[in-house]
Amino acid sequence: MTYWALNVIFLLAAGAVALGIGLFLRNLRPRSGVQHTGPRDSALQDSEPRRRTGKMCMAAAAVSAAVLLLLTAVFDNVMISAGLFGYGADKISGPMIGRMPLEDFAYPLGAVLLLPALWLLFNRGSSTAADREEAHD
Amino acid sequence: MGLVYLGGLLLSLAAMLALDWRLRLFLFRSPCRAALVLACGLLFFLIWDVAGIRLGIFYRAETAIMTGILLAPDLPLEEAFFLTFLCYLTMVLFTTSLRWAESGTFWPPARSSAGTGNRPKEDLS
Repeated sequence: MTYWALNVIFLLAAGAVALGIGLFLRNLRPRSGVQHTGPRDSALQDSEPRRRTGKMCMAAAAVSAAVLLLLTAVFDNVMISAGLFGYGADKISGPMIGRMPLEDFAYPLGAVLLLPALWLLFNRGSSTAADREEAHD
Repeated sequence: MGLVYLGGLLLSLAAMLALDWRLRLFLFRSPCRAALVLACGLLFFLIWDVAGIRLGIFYRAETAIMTGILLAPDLPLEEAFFLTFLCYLTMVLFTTSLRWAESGTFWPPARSSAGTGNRPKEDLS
């Protein structure tokens, strides 16, 4: 199995989890499907944040992905140059960014698909004081 | 010299913790929920790594800047810290971006909500 084939499996898994959580959270919202309509928290009254929308979450994930991909391109090259790890020559497809196989971008992509979705999911039912601060969520 | 890579990772994690502490983004906002996210991420990437190692996609190079401690064949101790850092960085970026989208500031909502002293949006003091 090649590095791409392995990545496809894990990216599909992460993507499926993200999609499932996204649809689940969207269906929990009454009516509009875009806006939260829960009660406002008094702690937030003076700063007047806009209500969190699915679009905001997607934008935040996209910004995170852009930064992560850039950092991966830089630091993966540093780590490979430092001789920390290597790749089976017959397992990678060929395109490289410096010394980094293109396939390595799958890790930050997997992270940005899976982790924010879990974070938003776990907020449901969370009842600590710190979480109630973001009760518009 | 064996501690160079691990030391670098710990330093990076410490910097991320400091940012998290200052802005109350993730672990310092909701410790249990954040720890659960990190644990899921670490498990996911460790499985990915082990699968890659088993398939002969990755191999660990013998190098003087790693401790040489292995968690599994070809899986160095440092990799667990690297993956934790990757997950933590991802969530710091995401929570920061989302807060900016929601409130136009990187600062957390004021901790005391008694209604006194509206915190300026760009409080840099």
